[in-house]
Amino acid sequence: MTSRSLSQFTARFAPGLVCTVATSAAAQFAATVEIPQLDVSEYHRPYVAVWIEGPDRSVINVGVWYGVDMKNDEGESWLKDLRQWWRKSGRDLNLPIDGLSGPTRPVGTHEVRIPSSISDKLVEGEYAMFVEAAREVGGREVVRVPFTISRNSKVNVSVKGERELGTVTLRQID
Amino acid sequence: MKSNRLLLLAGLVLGTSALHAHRVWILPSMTVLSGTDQWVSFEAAVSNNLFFPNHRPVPIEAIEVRGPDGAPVTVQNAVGGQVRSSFELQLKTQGTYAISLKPGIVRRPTSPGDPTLFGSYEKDGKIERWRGTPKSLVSEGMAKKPGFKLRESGGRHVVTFVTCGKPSDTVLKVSGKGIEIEYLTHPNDLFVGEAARFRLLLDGKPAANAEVTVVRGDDRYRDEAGDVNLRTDKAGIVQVKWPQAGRYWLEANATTAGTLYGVPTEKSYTYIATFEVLPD
Repeated sequence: MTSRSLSQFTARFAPGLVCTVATSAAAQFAATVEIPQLDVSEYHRPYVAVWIEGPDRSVINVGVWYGVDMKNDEGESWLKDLRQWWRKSGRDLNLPIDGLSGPTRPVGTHEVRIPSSISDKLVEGEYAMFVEAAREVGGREVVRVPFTISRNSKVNVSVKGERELGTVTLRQID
Repeated sequence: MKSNRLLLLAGLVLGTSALHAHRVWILPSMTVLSGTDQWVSFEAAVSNNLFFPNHRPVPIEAIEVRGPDGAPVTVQNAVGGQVRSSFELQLKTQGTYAISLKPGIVRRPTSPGDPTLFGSYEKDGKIERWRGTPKSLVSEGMAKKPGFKLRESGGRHVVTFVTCGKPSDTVLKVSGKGIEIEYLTHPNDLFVGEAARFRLLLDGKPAANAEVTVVRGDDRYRDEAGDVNLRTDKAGIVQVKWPQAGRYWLEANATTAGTLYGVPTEKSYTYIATFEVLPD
């Protein structure tokens, strides 16, 4: 799916919707990303990108949290610090994109919406959800959450980051 | 490690044979950028260490920039210093920029009527160096020395690249003239652990078995610079696997045979580029 069609699709949904009711029998998913409390003298909320890679390594963007409201689009100048995401997808996008772009989030655990436009694409196979965080005057971390879509079991995975990210989860909810 | 051949080449290019350890470079502060109207600062110098200005500047007027559309871009806040030149560039267009030295301008010109010539010949199974002028070439009968060859500079290309947004290819297009690299891997898409592939071209044709030297920056903090010496394959391709993230200096040398003043020459071409390799 292109980012444009993703944008058109997700724009129809109300913001904050965690999951959507699909007409098809495809599975529904809920993800969470924890931004940890850090004991640092200068703290800025991290920029975060969330995406899923399929068996062919193609990128399905889920979300990117950055300084979306900064004047002169200054927030976009730091997107390159999400190095892996920037290379795999970010530099090909024309941000902001409705339903994908969002503001930075505070410390805490955040629900990440996986719209059915994405979950419908998750046919049987091996996947990984990636969460990359980069913080101004701080560090960077990528958490990879591998998961398998199969008829026999439901996805319920969790990986803990080491520094810039806390626990990242992905759960099949239907 | 520098061979005597390279020493002589440096002598030709820089006008003195004592400068073999000196390396010329243009170093960007950043190579991968996002957003609009971004600024990048640059330093350009000839130095003993990478990338610390400690010898001579590159003349600021030697710098030329081409933008993503291939058109010239004006540098800003240019300063020609004592040991380095510096300037800034505003990236108003998304894509890849090439920052290079105008050919020839850095070379110290010799007197046109009486240029200094460098050559070599074989004596008792060893290579002997020769230095002279067109006149002494004749008066010393150099043409009759076994294996005598004059060294000739085919030119030097010094370049670096920066990209804002999606990498583009316009400034990477090869012209088919002189020494060039065809970037099979984009120069602003280099990552540690991945092999980059570059094809060395001389007048548009693959330069096979050519010397390529790759050195990571910050050599001042190492006892040995740790030059990686590679050669291009039959197709002119060199594969570079970056051992760690950082800023790298690459030099490629290729030669062709010709004649000058009625004697055979070995014409040397040099391509020098500065790259940034990012952690994965």
